[in-house]
Amino acid sequence: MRHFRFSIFDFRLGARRPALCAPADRRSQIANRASAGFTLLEVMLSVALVLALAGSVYAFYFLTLDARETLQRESETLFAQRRVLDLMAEDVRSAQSVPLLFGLKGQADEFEFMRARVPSPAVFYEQSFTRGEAADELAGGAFELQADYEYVKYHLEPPDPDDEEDEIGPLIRTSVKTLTSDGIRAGVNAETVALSDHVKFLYLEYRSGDEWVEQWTDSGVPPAVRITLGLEPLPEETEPVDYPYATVWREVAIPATGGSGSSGGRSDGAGRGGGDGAGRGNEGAGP
Amino acid sequence: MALALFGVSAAVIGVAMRQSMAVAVDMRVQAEAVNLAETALARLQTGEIAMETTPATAFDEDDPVWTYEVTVEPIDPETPGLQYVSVTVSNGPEALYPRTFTLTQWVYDPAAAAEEAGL
Repeated sequence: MRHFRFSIFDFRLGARRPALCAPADRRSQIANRASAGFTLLEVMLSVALVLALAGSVYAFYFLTLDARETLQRESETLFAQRRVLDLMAEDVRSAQSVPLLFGLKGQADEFEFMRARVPSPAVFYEQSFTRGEAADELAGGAFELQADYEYVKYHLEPPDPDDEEDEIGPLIRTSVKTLTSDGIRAGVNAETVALSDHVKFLYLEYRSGDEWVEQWTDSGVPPAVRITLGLEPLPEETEPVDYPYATVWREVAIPATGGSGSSGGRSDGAGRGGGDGAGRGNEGAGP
Repeated sequence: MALALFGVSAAVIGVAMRQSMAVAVDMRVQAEAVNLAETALARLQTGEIAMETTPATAFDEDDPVWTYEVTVEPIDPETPGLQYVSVTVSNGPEALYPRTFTLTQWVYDPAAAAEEAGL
């Protein structure tokens, strides 16, 4: 009678409610359940869930990794481009024509110019110190004579002809602070710095009158230079002006325009805005 | 419960990633704005853009998204020709990433100096 009552109870509420079972029956049920294990359906469901979760986590992890790499690449590229543009703009802004030498000579893919600069403070020291015994003990050339001018050249390193996979670049800045005409030609005391591997395209235009030209051979300096940088090499048989990829560009005015050539003069005659600013600031505002 | 937690966590991280990407694009737009402002200032110095206060003007006819606005004010009446020039570049509020950038510089304008001196 007791067993019958509990059977009905089990039938209604399921076998998981054995609270009212007699101690002997409860032990028996627990033993049965422990030995029963999982059904095939339960195992398959568990495996499917684990696989789905693992797949999601795996995909999510690589998505995050990919996003992180993209962000880092973007950041590095942006930083490199801005750094290169700022450096080039600073150099170009101080370009000027130097008697017996030249001002600016440029093609579409490279240019060289003379720029005004402040020599190292070391050149103003006593001669006995800078070029005497003490100087010999220091690194050779550290206290070479320096002029108020500096020769600067920018160009892209051409690809190695023996290596088919080698691409153009990096962007090279060459400067000479000890100036003699022979010294520039022979590259004496030339400092060559690879500025950025990210820049694979350099396009230069020079303001001449009311138009932009791709070549500047005048002995003076142009009123302005437009510098365009790209991350991809220029495709073969493509003109620079038709460069198909994204670029960053900036126009830089040269205050010391004048020089000796007719095309180097200011187009408006009056010479707008000669001074580079004191008290310069900027502010950016987001949305 | 575990699945719900996982889903919520994935959603939160996904939103954070999307915002990071948006910041990267915004940085690029900001860099473009800086270059355009520098360019506008250079054009003012070369005379390509008149050295006078102008309202928002399309930067390039081919790309009317970006506009520049110039403000020119004399700094000191006793120093004729020395101008406070402010260039504001904007891509408009309708842009996906609206950005405004202002570049200010003191510029000496010989033409303005001669004009003020009555030469």
